[in-house]
Amino acid sequence: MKRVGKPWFFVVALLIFGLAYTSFFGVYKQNGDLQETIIRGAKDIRWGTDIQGGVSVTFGPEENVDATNDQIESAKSILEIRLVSSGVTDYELYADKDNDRLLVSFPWKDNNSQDVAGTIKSLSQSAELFFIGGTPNSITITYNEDGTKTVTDETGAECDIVLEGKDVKKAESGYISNDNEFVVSLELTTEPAEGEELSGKEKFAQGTETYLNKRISIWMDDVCLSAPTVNNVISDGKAQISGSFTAESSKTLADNINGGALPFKLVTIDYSSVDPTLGTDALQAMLIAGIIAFALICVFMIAYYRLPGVVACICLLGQVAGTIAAVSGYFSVFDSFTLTLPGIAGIILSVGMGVDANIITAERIREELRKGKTLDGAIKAGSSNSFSAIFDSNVTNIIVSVILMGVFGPPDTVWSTLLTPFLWMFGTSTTGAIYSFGYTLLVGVILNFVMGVAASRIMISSLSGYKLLRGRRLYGDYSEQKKREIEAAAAKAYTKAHAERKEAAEN
Amino acid sequence: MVKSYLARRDFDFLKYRRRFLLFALCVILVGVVFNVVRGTKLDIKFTGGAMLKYSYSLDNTVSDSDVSASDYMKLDKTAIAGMVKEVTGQDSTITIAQSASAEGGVKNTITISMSGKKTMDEDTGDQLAEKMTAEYPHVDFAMIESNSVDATTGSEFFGKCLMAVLLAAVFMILYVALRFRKIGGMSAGVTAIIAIIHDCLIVYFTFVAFGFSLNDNFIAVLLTIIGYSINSTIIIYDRIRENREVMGKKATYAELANRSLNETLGRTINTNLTLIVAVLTVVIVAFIYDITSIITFAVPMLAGVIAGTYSSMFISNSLWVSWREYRDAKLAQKKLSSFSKKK
Repeated sequence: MKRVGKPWFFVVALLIFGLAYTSFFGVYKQNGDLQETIIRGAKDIRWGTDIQGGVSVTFGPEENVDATNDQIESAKSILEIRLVSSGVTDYELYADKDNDRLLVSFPWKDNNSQDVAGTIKSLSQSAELFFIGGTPNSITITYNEDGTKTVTDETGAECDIVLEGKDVKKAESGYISNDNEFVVSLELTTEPAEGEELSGKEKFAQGTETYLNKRISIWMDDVCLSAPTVNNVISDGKAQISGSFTAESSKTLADNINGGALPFKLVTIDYSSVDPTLGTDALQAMLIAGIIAFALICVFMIAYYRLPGVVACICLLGQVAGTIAAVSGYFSVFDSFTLTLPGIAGIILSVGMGVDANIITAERIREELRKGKTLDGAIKAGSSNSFSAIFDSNVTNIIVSVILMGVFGPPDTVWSTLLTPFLWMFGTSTTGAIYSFGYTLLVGVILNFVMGVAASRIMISSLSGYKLLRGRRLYGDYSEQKKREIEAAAAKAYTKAHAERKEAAEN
Repeated sequence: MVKSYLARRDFDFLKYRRRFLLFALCVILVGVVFNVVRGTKLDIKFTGGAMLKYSYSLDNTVSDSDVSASDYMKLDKTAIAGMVKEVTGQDSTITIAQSASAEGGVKNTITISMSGKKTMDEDTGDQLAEKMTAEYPHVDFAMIESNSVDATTGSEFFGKCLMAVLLAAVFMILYVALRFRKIGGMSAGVTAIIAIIHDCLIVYFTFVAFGFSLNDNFIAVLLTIIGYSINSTIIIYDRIRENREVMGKKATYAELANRSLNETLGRTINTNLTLIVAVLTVVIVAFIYDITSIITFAVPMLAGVIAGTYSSMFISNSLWVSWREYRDAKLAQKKLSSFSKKK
């Protein structure tokens, strides 16, 4: 490698500082009142539920029920609608079709009630809407193995279903000022639903005819919403549900009807929740730990390795900044990854490991200098000799991080697909926390190649072009200084002896 | 200024190789004793079960002049276990802890763990809080963490984790085999793997000794240490291969290993030192703020890094030299006996 031109140090260093600044603080454009994100900073990072607080739930069908892939897929999209309609946007939702599992996790919103039980229930409620002829005291919905449903009343007799959720085209909440009442208006389908003969409009017309002057009860799951008396045949495909609704409850009901009923009953299999206060403490603690660890390593590197040590610190800064950029997505068009506590530990760990590349190179340079090579020769030899060792340490770490991401990551990622031949017999078990650790470790290792190897070499080589920075001591070789010290001591001893001799002769 | 503390590099490591191996064996023995006494705990993530954690504090209706705050705050573990039994019908283990809070002050927490096959449902947390508030009217309870794992999911996850470790082991052995074809062959490869097994055992014993239950953190630490520890060993063996060319056939195995160890000493110590500093910082901060998920991650990691440093410097080489010397001696004996037979 020829010595790199002098200005290159500044080019590389400026690039790294630029990356560090932008990835920590972000770049935003003020567009009137709106702030547009051009580059995401650290504050735009999506924190995992262990930091921000939140809920993770695994849902599945009831025991002995085998859901089809289509059913799982439709349950997934219904959950999606429910999450969005309740204002949660940064959720993670995965479907594991092989094991009939749906995995949801999302952070608490700032002013959320943090009601774990309520949140889980509102997500997993079946949202089955039924118009039933007559007024049973209670109903039980049974899901049959062939995907159909049977509704029975308290005596076990099958109910006459006039209308169900899938016959509804659109539900809307509204307010009737005359009655001072909130209602949910339904627009019924004009085409028959799949596997049915009649459309919603036709069914309702028929039903209202059958039950003219009798009562029809309206149920959401096993809760009776209202039981109006049918006064005339309704054939325009419009229906209305009234009850004791509030503005909020009528909207929720309309949302649930629009979202559709789940194709099977969702059972909570596993769940976990973390309070936001717990996570904020932990995040602060990890930030403190990260800053202290980084500072200690920098002090050590500069004190021990001098000039290559300074270069190593700049490289480490670049590595951390690059990892943060890879987590936040940096440019707003890219996806961002969730950062968890073990993920932060992974960043700190990869700083501790990443410095290895710089240490190996600096040690080699020092060694070559001690052997008596010239500075340029030592830098060249140090760089080329150390490559295989650095490569080794990175290969094993890459293998490990890929396994970690494949095992603990969500299904449908490259990593888990890569490991499917080995892990197909086990169910999905997302441990987002460890997945994030694998990711930061992997990114750290890859960046270590970019920073610890390429950037650091360019910087050292370019710096060594400055006369001021060519002192061998700056690279950790004290042998010359020692030689000079010995020479000086010898000279001193010689003059002393000479003086003594002179003195003796004079006497 | 830091003087190069490793300027004089001619330590005779191999002279003490028996002591090094003996020390490692002793540490492992202590670990085994711990394991027998304390047993191995599996986390609910593997076995299935449930955990609830509440933070609690005195509510503001209590004035200081009333009975001292600590009396109000004294929770009776058996009474609470009774409440848990009422709500869930299960036995539970209850731990009460205090830690520093980021806003300053002290945070009191109570953790309830159940290891039943039947897990709790989503209402349990609220029901229990209600019961506790009824019993301790002046204490505010807030659920800060809950976790409920189905037994089947747990055992599947456990299987998956074991598979991950196996997978990592197989890949490492393949890599070692590939890499060591050039370096030192079978003897070097096997001793390198013994060193890794040593490190994994230390990580395991750390979990046991500290009473941490084995969970996904354990697997993550194990894999990281497997990936990390092999490097130092490879770097030293790589130097041995280089030095064999320089020093020629005359050099003894001990001389060869000693020189290689001394030459790579700077790298070995400094790399591990920086890593230990990084992990130690995390450990200390995690202890101050009592972040359980990080403590059970960073403490075994620290032990693993230290074990990895030790094993790559002292165990793999010592074993390798002994192996080679033993084989040479055997070969020589064979030659000698065949020679004397001829005579």
